[in-house]
Amino acid sequence: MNPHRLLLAASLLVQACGGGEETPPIVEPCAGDFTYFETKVWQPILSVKCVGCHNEQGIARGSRLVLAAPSDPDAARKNYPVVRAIADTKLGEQSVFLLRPSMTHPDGHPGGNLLPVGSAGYQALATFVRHGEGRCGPDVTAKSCTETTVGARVLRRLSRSEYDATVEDLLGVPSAHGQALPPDVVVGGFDNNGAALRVGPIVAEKLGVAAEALAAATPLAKLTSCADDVTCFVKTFGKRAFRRPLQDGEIARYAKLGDAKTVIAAMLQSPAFLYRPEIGKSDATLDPWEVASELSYLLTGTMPDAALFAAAETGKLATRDEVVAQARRLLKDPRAARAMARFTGQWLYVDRLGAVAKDPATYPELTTDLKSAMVAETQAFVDRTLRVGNGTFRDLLLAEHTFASPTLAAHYGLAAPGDDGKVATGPLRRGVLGQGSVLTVHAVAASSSPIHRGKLVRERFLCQKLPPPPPGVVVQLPPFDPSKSTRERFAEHSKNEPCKSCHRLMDPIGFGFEAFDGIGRARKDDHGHPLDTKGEIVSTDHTDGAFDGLEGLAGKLADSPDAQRCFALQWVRYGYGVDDEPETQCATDRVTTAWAKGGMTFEALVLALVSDPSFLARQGDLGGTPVPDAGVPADDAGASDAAVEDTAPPADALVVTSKRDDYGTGYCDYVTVKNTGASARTWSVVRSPEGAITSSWKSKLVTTATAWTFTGESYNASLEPGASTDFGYCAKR
Amino acid sequence: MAPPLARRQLLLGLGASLLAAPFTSLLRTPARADGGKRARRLLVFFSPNGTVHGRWRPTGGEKDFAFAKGSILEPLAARKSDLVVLDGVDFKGFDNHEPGMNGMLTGQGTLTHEGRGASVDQYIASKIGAGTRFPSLELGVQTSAWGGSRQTRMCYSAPDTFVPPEDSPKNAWTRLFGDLGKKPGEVDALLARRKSVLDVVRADLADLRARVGATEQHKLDDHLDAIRAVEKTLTTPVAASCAAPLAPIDLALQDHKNFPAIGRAQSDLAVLALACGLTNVASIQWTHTVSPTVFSWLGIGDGHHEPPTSRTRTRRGSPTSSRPSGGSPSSSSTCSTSSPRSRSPTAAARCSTRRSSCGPRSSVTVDCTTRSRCHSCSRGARGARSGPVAT
Repeated sequence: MNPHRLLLAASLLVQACGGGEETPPIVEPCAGDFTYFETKVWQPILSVKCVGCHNEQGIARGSRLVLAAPSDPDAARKNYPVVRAIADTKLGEQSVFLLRPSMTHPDGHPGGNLLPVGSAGYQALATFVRHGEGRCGPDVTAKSCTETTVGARVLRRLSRSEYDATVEDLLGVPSAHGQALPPDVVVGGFDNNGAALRVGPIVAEKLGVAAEALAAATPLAKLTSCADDVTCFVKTFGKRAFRRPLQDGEIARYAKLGDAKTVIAAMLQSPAFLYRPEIGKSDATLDPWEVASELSYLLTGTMPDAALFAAAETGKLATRDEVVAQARRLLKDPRAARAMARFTGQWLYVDRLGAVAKDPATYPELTTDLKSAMVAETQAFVDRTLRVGNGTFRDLLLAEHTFASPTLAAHYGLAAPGDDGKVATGPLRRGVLGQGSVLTVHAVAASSSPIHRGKLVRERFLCQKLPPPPPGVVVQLPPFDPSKSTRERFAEHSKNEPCKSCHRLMDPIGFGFEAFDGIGRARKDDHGHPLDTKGEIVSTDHTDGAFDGLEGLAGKLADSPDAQRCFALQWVRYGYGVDDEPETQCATDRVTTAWAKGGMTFEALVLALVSDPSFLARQGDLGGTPVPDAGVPADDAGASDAAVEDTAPPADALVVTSKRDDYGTGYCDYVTVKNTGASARTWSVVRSPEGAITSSWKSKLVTTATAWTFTGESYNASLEPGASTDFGYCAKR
Repeated sequence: MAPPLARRQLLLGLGASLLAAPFTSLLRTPARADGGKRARRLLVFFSPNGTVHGRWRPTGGEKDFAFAKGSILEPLAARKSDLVVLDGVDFKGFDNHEPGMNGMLTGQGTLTHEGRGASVDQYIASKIGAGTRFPSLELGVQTSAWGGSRQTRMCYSAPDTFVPPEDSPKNAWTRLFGDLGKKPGEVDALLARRKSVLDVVRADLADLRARVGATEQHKLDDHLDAIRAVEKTLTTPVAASCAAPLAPIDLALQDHKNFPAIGRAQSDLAVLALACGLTNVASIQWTHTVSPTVFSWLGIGDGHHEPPTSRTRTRRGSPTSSRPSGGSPSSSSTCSTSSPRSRSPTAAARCSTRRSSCGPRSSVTVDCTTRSRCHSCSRGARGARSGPVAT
């Protein structure tokens, strides 16, 4: 700790009230602390993300963080001492100011994880905390956006729909096996998040069953001309299955399986098939095969086609120009409509329409067919407006036509579609927000819902995440009173202070949709009350203000820089499979800028996405262990791994080298065995137990109290002279 | 949140509670199969959005309690002496809405706690599930329209690592019983082939692991662990003590009309899996916290979680409010509990009482497909085969 401790005025001390939390003696904050607070903490973070609940009337008024509202001209100065005191309050080693909003406090944070550890906002708070400790230098751990802030090297597991699409293209047989997997984890609204999609026991089991069934169903003759020659089959089929050429070790390993069907079953379970590696080379750029997969999954939702593979093979994809050219080509590919549909369905949650439960007595018209027609309308509208028509975000919100089926047009009370499938909507139902799918999903069982529709706009068009109602809040509305309009009933939210602080963000936007009932029909009155569609947007950077009806709301959003940037962010989330700051923030800034330069057309957005550093490069450590077939262990100068001497005497002519990755509570050893003798040898390696083994690979393991004995698997037990193999294991202490 | 019960006592209670369901004959054999030792099993049963506390709580004291006529637990009255009903288990200060699903069975444990962040069912499965083909079995009823998230998942093998439920009875049946009925020769060849395939997959995992940094290595380590678990499942012959039942019919899984039928099928499968010795630990999750399900087959028009809306209320002539008391998930699962913040449903509600007593616990389709009055369904539910497993 800094030795220059000075007690501040007692007025700055706020008593800690949480168990185990302590307020340490306070050192004088760094010079410029208030300015830092005002410009980096209050304005961009607290006044936007926190004050909604943390104010005198808000839900969190019982917490220590009670802030003056941004409308108070002296808010920053009033809030500074309050926040300074909380920042100085520690639980263990860490400030509660960091623990709470990042959900790392043992008691959680009812408002959710607003500032994930490592996010730009979290770093700003961390710097503020450091200042209070007298640590005034630059925070070397802080990250900020640069031209080259890109994501980490990652393995992206195929999502369920990507799996089915890939299998169908790869094998030429239909597949519903992907859909039978457990539903993918949804992060930021999208089901293709690179960090979230993993292979657990149930997924692995189902993938195994699927692989066998698919292998059995595949007509081999259509796949390759050499299904009888297993090595040839492994090479040719494997290159498409793994979306890159196979290494020699892989070819040998798979050839040993003996027949093509078993090879297919194995490859469909291989991590080389199931994950899209975006690892890159040592210079951080992705290799052309990786880029080919990125492009094709982003734009077509499936594996690369022959032209993309050829561009990877010849190395052309190493240039940005070729990436852009391929993206332009794929945008015109009919399969791109499928990828667009995936984006649209998840962006607006309209893919949930099939599962939306409505009261059949109130809405007998809402049949399964009508639901399907609604989803089809929105998919077609977004695809034809953006991708086919190269439209803009404004077009998406302001178009006065749609592509509804005759039945759906009748449901809306609109004229039947013309020859081009277009249905004129007029301004009152314009754009994607006036479509039945959106209006039906974002409503409740037997009526419209200003809450749900306001939440849709707030979260999916303005990218502001709303916390769930905190515990203990009485969410029960007063009894239904038929003499009141919807707006009057929901006015309870704006009278009731704990509700108001969050519902003011939703309900006033949702009122703008009141001209539509719970299944998207236009209505002339609200159960006998006159319609009132006036609404208001508050607490945004650039979009605040009153509006009237969907027409007014759509107009505001279409021209809102907040909404435009949010749309780019949604594509960053979907396209890159990420939802972590700072990467998304940095990438979104760059993509939005490039999109605007390109005239805000959809093609400009896609080209901005695929030529951004986030698409073409990755940062972070590469693996520190030898790649197979390399034969010799690689040194990883950058890593902190220490090579350890092998504790067991190697057998004659077998040289065993080992490398340890130690993370305190456990470790992993990566072991290479090389036969330097003159004849073939079968190897075994004995280790003294240290902890308990949690996993091992490429070896058979026998454990006793005094020895862990590793021997080779069928494919690597015997080493020819000069040959080497590797195996490894992890243990916890 | 320690209940005043020894773990052994709890498990005994739970094992016995299964017998309360009308599957006694099925269960008798395996329950005594291992040398007369009492079978140790766990079945977690989750229903969302709170309960109606006045209808849930037994009357009387800790040992001399009774299930009042018309109460939710009344169908279990005959087995009352085998039951322990828990109440008031604390959510430990976390939100019982969206995050509650995540915290409910985990107690928000972390890697440093005894359970290493696993939910209690997975922890128990790690103790008593090893000898069975499926260490645990997770079944769901319309849990996943919103995808996998902390709001829709209650079972965890580690912090934030979901053990997802199977929402399709047909898929569950295939998984449980699909291999039964194959000829021994076929099975041996299949198992051998699977073994060699998984060896190759393991080698591929190791190759890839060497190319990536620590975060992705952990991802691959999890994958490798999964392969090891699968290897046990896929490469050992099934030793079930009963023949496969008929496969369930195909149901539109997202159609809320099918909610009772799916629930019944999943309940039957869970009981069969336990009875056949395929697993010792199962869970049935009915939707998820803040569930919007509409129990329309009971003549109810509002979403289970939504505020009352206009005409449905008027139509039924009940002007009172509609919410079940308590938040969600004040679950009635075996390991958990009701919300400590529960409010008694005094004035709030005749209607909510009716609704919830017919709620996810009803599994009768025939009686309730017409818009009959709610309480008549309640009666139907009491005679149903798959009643709740009480705490």
